[in-house]
Amino acid sequence: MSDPSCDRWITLSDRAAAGGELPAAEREWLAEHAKCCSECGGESQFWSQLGSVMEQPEILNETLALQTSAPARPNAKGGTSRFRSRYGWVLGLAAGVALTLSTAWLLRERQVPSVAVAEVRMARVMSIAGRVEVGAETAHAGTWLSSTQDIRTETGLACIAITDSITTCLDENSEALLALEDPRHFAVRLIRGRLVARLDKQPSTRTFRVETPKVAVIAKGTLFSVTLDAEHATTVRLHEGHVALQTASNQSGELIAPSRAIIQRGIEIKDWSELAAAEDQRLLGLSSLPRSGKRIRLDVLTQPAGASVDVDGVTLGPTPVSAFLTRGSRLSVTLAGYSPVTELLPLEGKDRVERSFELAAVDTKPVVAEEEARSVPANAPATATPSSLLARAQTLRSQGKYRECAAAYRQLLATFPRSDEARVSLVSLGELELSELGQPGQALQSFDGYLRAGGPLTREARYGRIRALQILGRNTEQQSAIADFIRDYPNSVQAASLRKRIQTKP
Amino acid sequence: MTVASHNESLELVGLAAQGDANAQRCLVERLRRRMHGIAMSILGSSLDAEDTTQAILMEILASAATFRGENLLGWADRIAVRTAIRHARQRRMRAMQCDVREDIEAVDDSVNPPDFDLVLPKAIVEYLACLPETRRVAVVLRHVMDYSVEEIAQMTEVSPNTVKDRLLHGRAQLRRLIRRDLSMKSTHRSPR
Repeated sequence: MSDPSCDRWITLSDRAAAGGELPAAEREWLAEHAKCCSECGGESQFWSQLGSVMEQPEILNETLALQTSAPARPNAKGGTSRFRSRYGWVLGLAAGVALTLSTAWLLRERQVPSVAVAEVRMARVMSIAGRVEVGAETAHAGTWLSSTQDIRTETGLACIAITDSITTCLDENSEALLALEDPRHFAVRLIRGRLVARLDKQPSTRTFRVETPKVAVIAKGTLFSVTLDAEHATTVRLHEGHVALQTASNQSGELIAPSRAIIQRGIEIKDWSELAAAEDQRLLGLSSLPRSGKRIRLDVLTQPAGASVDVDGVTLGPTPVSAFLTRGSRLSVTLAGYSPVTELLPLEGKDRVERSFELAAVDTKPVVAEEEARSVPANAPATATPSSLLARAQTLRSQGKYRECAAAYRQLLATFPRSDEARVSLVSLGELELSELGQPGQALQSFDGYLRAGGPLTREARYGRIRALQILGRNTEQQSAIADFIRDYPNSVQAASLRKRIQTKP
Repeated sequence: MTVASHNESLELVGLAAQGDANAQRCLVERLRRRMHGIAMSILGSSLDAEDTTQAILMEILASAATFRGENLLGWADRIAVRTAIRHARQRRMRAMQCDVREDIEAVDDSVNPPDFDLVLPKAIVEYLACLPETRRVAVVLRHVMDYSVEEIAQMTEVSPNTVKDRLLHGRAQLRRLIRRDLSMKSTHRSPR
């Protein structure tokens, strides 16, 4: 670009673009130069085409044909542009009338499929796994849903993006109904089961709520789960932000994270329980999948179906799986009785990745037999296993039958004391004793029992122990336990809460 | 698109604000094409633009109660630009995906040129996508939507000098790409 004429052309056209006025002589010179210089003429046509985008978005996807010896490509927008009315001579002065009309006509006749649908679509599938009904027979990541879509999960999981700022993930055996007809008041009606909602800050003109028969949970920018049990008791666990609660009987309240409430006859605020909150972990992970922007669609099929799919630690659910990801490197596919598969995903530069696996069966019987021989005592019922007892305890807990649940945990501990299930159940039992049964002394024993051997729930057990010590009034031990906890888990949610507690203490 | 008279617009948007489904549909039909253009040019990608168009239309319907009878398209444009910029920021678009300093040899020559004298090898949206977000927004608001530098400054909450700077740098960057591609095409044509 060493040609001084081209340099001048660039300077003048930039000045015009930045809002400067040009004398008539310079405007004429610009137009003349664009006609005889292929580079400046080509650039001028590019700017001219940009001006037509508002009327013809499809132009953006076209390559620009530049006719070096001919005038610039016509501008179909006509005289509606202020910019072009001032500087149109720069951009396409020499455009022929006939070419203008014919090109404009041809372009206007073209349909743009992506903008032809009249309905505003507010919700689309972000991820779907296993058996899920969402209206469309073959729904996948990206499937648009209607504003009143009913979503039913059986053995699967589903995450729905509502606009670009709300994610709703539905657990297994759940059902929810979208109510998005009114753009000012979005609602999701939970009919059964559990969902997690993750929201960015909503515009002041919009509210979002999750409704159950007992309560409406009204949120603006927060992360929470709502569980509806068979007796219509609603449990709200608030992980971040704050929500307002409004019951069917017009009682209202507010929650600030981390907190939880059970709504049955009224609003009952409960202590935050890390263990109970851990039940949301799978959905919390799913809810962090990307709602919009540049994403890669991952589809995973297995033979047999139902294998659990994880990408970098986020459980997407049982196969068949279809989910949007922004990144991901390690794909794991596991199914009991089959060899697990792990592979690195080649996602770079792709819009869609499909993986299909035929899982190889393995003979697990000897392993199971050996495990049971190790852990089943002589007096255990022939049909009881650690996992069946744990499942029974969890069911009782979800039904709100806390005493029976505690008894089930204790039975598990008594009959299979060396099993993994029994070890984990010590923390669950401690939480139950502390939060629901008012037995802090026993809770302390349960947490201490777990901590003697340690394990993945050490942090939860240590936090539970601190709370038990607080209730028991053993302040010196509590202070020491808090200091140790903050030192070992400085960035945890619990540490933040404990720091606050220390600061507010007189 | 037919621009509704002020009264008609006010009535239409008012009905849409009250939740009238027909009015909402009508408003969406009127604006969708234009909003798609804005989304696509600001985001620089037709894939993302579809999502953003939906978000823009949602914002328009949700904000319908704030319409006071001013120019409908101007009002909708402002919402669209705001929403599209927010989307672009959220996406943290890979800045300078196709760096202008890239080796000329790396330019994709696989595109077969049609029977024109010269054809730019990339679609217009791909050139826009080469700009960093702030520059792209300035170029789009100026050249696609015809806003003045002062109006752009107001919309993007920066000074007019910053807008000029972004605009001129964006233009310079696009210019280098366009001219490089043009010279490549000329070079490839000349031996024939």
